[in-house]
This record gives sequence, C-alpha cells and structure tokens, in this order.
Amino acid sequence: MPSRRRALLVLLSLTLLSVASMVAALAAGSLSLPIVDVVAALAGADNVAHSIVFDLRLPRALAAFACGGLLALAGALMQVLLRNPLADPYVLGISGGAGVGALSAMLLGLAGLAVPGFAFAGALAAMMLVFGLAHGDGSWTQTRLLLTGVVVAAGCGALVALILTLAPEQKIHGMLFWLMGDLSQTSNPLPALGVLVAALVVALPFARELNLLARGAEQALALGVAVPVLRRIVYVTASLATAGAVTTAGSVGFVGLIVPHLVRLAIGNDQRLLLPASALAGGSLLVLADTAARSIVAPIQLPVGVLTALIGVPVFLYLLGRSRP
Amino acid sequence: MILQTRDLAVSIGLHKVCLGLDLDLAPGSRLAILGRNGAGKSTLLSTLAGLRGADAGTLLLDGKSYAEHGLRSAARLRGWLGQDRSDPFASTVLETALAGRHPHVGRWAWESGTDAGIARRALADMGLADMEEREVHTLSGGERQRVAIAALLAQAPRLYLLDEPLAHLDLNHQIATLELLSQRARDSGIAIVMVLHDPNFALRYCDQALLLFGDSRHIAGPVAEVIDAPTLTSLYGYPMRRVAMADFFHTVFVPE
Repeated sequence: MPSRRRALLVLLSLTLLSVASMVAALAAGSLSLPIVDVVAALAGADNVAHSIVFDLRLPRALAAFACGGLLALAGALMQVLLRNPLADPYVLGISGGAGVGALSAMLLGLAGLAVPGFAFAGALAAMMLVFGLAHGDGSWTQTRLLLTGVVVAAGCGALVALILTLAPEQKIHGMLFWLMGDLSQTSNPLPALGVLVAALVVALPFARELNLLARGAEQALALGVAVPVLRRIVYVTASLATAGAVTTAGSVGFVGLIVPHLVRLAIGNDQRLLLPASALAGGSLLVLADTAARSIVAPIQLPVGVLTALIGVPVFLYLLGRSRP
Repeated sequence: MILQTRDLAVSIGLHKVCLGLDLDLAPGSRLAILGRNGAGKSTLLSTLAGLRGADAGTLLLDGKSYAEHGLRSAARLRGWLGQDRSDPFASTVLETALAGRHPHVGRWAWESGTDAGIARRALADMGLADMEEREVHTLSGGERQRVAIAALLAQAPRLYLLDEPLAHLDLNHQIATLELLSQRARDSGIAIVMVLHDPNFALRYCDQALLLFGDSRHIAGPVAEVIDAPTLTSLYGYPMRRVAMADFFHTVFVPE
C-alpha cells in the first residue's frame, strides 16, 4: 500500500546517500583530502583543499550527479512510455543523434562549447525525427515508436562508425572517450542540474497517471487519464533529460537501464516514489562511479561508463537473485 | 437513462459493426452483447465506453456526451473492463485494485485509508481477501481476471462495461461474479453492459440483449423476446435447440 510516510523515508535515506557520495567524491582522487579539510573548505576556509574542491571536484561531482539523475529519470520514464522493462534513455536514438553531433564537431576540429552544442543539436534532431516518423499517420502505438527509435539509433550508429573510420588517429581517443561517457571535460554543472530539476517538476505531477499508463493505455484512458497528452509530455521530458545528460557527459551507459530496475526491486513500481528515487540513486551511482574512475589508477582516468557497469552489474544481479520467491 | 444511443453507427477499418443502433439503459438494467468472434462486440463496447469514436449518431452518458463530461468525470460514472491482462511491471493485488480509485483521488492527494478500505472490500467481494500482498504475476489467469473486476468495483461507477468478464473464470466464479453484479444492479442501481458467449447466462442474468451479426445487422430487445433457437442458429452459424428444463419453468439453449 503506497503511503506518503514511506515515500518520505525512502527519499530521505536516498538523499543521505547522495550527500555521502558527494563527500566521497570531494575527498577522493589522485590527491586524497581528509574529510575534515573538505568540510572546512566547504565552510569557507581558505586552505589547500579549497581550490581543489571548488575548482576541480565540486563542479565535476555535481555534473556527475545531474547526469546520473537525468539518465535514471529518463530511463524510468521511457520504460513506462514504452511499457517495456528493457527500454533505456538511448533506445529511441537520442544518444545516437548526440553522438553524431559531438563526433562531427570533433572531426571538424571544433573545440570548447562546440562539442556539447553539436551534441545537443544532434539529440534534438533525433528526437524530432523519431517523433515525426512515429507520429506519421496520427496513431501512436508503443511498438511503432520503439521500432522507429531503434532504426534511427541504428542509423546514427552507422554514422558514428563512419566518422570513427574517417577520423585522423589523434582524434580517435577523444571520440572513444566521449562515446563511453566522460566527465573530465565538463566545466559547468548548472545546465544539467537545471534540466534535472525541470524534468522532475514536469514529471512528478503526472506520476500517478504514469502508474496507470504502465498498466495499459486503454485502461488508463478509461480511468480518466488524457493518454495522448500524457505520452507527449513524457516523451519530450525524457528526451530532453537524455539530451541534457549526453550533452554534459557523453553517452554514459547502463545507468538509465539499471537504476530504475534497482529502485523498483527495492521499493516497488509506484512512479510517485520511483521517479524521484531513481533520480537520487542514479545521481549517487554516477558520482561514485566517476570518483572511482579518476581514483583507482590515478593519475590515469578511466571512462566512467566502464565503472557504472562494473559497479552496477553485481549489485543488480544480487538484488535480482534475492527477489526470487 | 444512464446510457442512451440514437442512430449510432460503429465501424472498425472497413468492417461495419452496427448501423442505426438505439439503446436505452436505465439504472438497474443489464444488457448482454452476443455475437461471433470478430463481430465487433469489443469495438462496440469501447465505443460505448468513450474510448474510441463512433461514425455517426449520438451517445449520451447520464444525459451528456463524453466530451461534455470530460475524462475524469466520465471515469467516475462508467467503468470499463478490457480483455488485456498484460502487466509488464510487478504490482501487488492491492495496488492493482487501488488503481480503480484514481478518478476519486485528487492530483496531489495519495490514496487514503478510505480508498484502501474500498479496494479491500472489492477484493473480498471477488474472493481475494487473503491475497492483497501477492504479486499479480504469481496469480492464475482466473485470479487475475477477478483482480481486474475488483479494481472496477473499487472504481464504483454507475455503469459497468465489461468485455468478457467471465474469461478464465471457473464455473463457480462465473456464477458468483454474475450473481454479485446482478445483486448490485438490484440493490445499488448500477447498469451493466457485458459481452457474453453463453446465451443461457444472458437469459438468466440480463434483462436486455443485443445480438451483433457481424454484417452491420443487429437485433436488440428484452432477452425473452430476442433470444430464441432460430435467431441463435443464425447468429452463431451453428444449429441451436431450445430445451425445457424438468421444472417446465426454465429453458436452456444447447448446440445440436
């Protein structure tokens, strides 16, 4: 039985987890800082830790949190929209579009804000292409949307492979890092955090209606849910959330598919709790993974997408095994 | 009238389901829709539920069109039971029944203890009292069907539109479900439209019948007048015979 009290308890403990992961991210790294110094720096003390925390680690950790939260939220929304537990934020080709954009910018030798700018444009183009094609005859079935998205994603994958083939060798490393997900290039976490807050504000008022949509579109309609409008809102919200994440960090895999399932296994499938809990859990997971990615073999940095999978797979398999009746 | 149609025309693709359909359903009445597979029974039922549009004619729910009611207010007046029982995500029996309370709960509110009480009573009415924490995935087909009917009872509409409510139910639960629904019609004045496959249940539990022949022809009227052996023979394309029971009071129809 869903209740507000339980929801608040779950969200409170996930918030504590998020804070703990942020503190870990600020303390750990190629130069590990004592937690006392980190807290002092945050409180305003002008010590050695101050510049490391504020110039390097805090922006990166916040960006990681925002991206993880966006991906998990987008994954949860896509799974309801498509009524398919295998859906993830990338299933409809948005990361493919962003990949084509970002790699084109790198191929053309553009730098700085051009890469995220091109990535965002590519994501939006893929989103509108899928929406337009799936919507062609006015009807909108989950299967049609899913097939259109998968085909557009495959097309983008081919373009990405083409760009990688044509690219000069010294650019390939950067491209591969982008494709695997990489937070070392992010300078400003505020756009992604803004998108995360906006996506939650848009999605949460519809959470109970999403519970019904997950049970079936016709039943939801019969219970008073404006299904076509709701689907459009969910599609646009999930797509923009994905675009915000891939623009900031490249296509970090795994978070968007697995975190909603992890949360579902732990607390059930009530979207009112699942959506904010996924955002917090996804954010924490990506912060921890990114911290590990830059600390384990420091000073070498690993692509964070590798770490999300290495941390997430055993946790997920453990929960899945435990939940068996 | 809780449900009224005038000159209603319904089609799916190129297939004409019915033309010029006039129905009047007062509180307490029970209408059975009979017909072969593919005759358009489900299509007509979802049209009556306002889930898809009609080609022509008027359709009034409690004196107003669905557009005038709006989705939420219509959902408090009529409930619809579809045939689909697919749940891609896990959900408990109680959560599934509570879904029926959606039109009664405000956007920012959560289901209250009262809503939970209504859902629990609905589950008990369908013989599922001790199953509320079970996952619906672990239930049998018939038990899931009863959970779906319980969700509809929790919705507490005044008009029930039921697409094959007896699907997957054993004989005992078929009778129990029909008894429960007709008792609600007598005591609380709910109206029922249900797609049935057994003309004998239509005779026993309904006062009106609508026979769809699948070629846009239909016959509607009181069950005793509409259901007879020649009509059923032509409806199902299989010879049917009327048999008087030993009490000389009831009759049943059996395939030859």
